[in-house]
Amino acid sequence: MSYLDAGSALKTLLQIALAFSALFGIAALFLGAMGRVRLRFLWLGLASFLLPFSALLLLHTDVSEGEGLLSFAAQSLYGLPYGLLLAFAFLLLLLALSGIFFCVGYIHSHLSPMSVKESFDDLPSGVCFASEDGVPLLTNSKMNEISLEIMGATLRDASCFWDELSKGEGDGVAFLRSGDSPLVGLKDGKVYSFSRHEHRLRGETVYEIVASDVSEPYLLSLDLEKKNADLKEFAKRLREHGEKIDEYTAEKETLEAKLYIHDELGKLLLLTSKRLSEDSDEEGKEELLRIWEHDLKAFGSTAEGPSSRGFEELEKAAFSIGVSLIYEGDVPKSGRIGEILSRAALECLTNLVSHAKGDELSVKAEAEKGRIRVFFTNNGLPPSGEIKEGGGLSSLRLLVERGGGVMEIKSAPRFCLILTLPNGGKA
Amino acid sequence: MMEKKISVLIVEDQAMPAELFAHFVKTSDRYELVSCIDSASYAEVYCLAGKVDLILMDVVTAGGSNGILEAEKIKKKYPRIKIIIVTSMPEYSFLSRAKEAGVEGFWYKEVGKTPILEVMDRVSEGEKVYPEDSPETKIGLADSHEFTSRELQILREVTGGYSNQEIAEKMGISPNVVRNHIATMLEKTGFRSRTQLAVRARESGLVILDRSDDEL
Repeated sequence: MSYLDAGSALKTLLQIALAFSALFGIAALFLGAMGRVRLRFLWLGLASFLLPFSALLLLHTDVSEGEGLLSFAAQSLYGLPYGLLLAFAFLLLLLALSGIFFCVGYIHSHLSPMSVKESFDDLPSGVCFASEDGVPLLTNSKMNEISLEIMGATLRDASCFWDELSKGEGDGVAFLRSGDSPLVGLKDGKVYSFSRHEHRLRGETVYEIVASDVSEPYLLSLDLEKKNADLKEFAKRLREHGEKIDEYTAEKETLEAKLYIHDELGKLLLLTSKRLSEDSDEEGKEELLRIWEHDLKAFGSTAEGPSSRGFEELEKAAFSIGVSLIYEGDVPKSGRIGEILSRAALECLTNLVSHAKGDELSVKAEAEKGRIRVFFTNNGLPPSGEIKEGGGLSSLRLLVERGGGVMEIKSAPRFCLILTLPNGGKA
Repeated sequence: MMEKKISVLIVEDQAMPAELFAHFVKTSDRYELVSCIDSASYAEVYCLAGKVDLILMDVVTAGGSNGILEAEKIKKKYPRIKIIIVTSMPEYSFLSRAKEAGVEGFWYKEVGKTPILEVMDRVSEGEKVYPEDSPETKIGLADSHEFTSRELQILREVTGGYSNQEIAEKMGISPNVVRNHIATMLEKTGFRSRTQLAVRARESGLVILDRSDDEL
């Protein structure tokens, strides 16, 4: 049975099937275009719309009028078996429906430009891609927010933005670090670290600027800096404790010795008072006298000790080996300068006896404004050549330089060691 | 002919022991006192004139001079002069450093089992007289002999206030190793912090940072 021979109900059924397949075909085409499916699938979508639409158009063409192409095509269609036409219509319907399902599935499994933009804007870091001349190509919301706070406007010129960041210029924000990796503190307390990277895309240079939230690490680093500073101070105090412990121990021993003397003197006075009140005989008095002599001698040795440091010790040592120390000018013998000078004199004394075979060491001081110059010479043999600094002279030089001074050694015509030291502004 | 007396130089910065040594020397028939000084840095001067035969040398002397370093210098220049190191500090490395310096004797002031005069006599006769070990001292819950030599090396640096990183660089080891040794020492002593450990170790004299080494 052909289409012409079919009843009106059957004809209507065919037309409805064709109408629906055209409708679904257009829906599939629309979804495909929206989801940006591949072109070949779009062609199928187009076909699944055009074919049923064309068939519907032909089925409504009046073949009794005219002999054109349209009339000819319609006549051919009318002559086809009804069953074939219906099967064709349902096939097209199926194709259109498949197209719809395919496009929906495609959209859900693939990223669209919109989804890229959405997720880009959701990033916690600020990101901006810009061309070589600074035109922003893609900027996320976070970067625009940051730009608004720093520049007073959303990002319009990426090159200008980067320049301002690198130089640390801008109002209302704290530029914590400028240069290649700028660090900026915003008003809300957050700290951002900026970096710029260069990419090549389709033969052109594209710059990527990234603003990363480093608020927590930054605060931790500040805390760490403070703790390190505290630790250094503490370590310094611990060191000083270690250096002074010997002094503390000596003071403690001296105090103990004083307490001992105090107690013993007390006992001695009590004994003396008792003996005198008892009116003891000569033997008793002599014994008392011996006790006093003995104890006072012992106290005397407790009170005295080895001679003090510095020049006193030096003079004693020089005397013991038959060397005279001759001073000229006001030679400081105490304090830090005195310590340095006594070390220098010791070094010269040792070298005088070991090498120069002399017996007189002269120390001459000349005060100038803010400094003092001290000359060490001797009456021994002059050096045979240029003096090379050994361990002793090197240590002395280090000590002098640490004290803010300068050391010079002259080998000709005679040995002369010259120290120039700051003397705290005295003239 | 009377035997020539042995000339003794005493280097001691504490009054009481200095007086005691001087008393022993003066009252002895065998020895005579050259001088009693408080700083090791002046010891060499006395040796220059060739008048010194024996030195009683303290380790920690006035002005920060290190007696063992000075003894080493003197032994190199004047090998015939005999030296006895005397100390009250149980600092563990003094004994080994004294041996390396080539000194003839070592004597602990407070706990020496052998009287000092006997040590002097034996040294004068050519013997080397050293105690077997440094005296034991208590550091918190631990005895000083419970620490290994590495631990004591690190503990000495800790008393100088150095950080783990600085100690590691000084000793050529990793900071983690330093940290672990300090943790072990804290466990042994029962101290809560490295500061407590450092202060107690320094006060006891178990470890003494060499200032000349440190400054240079």
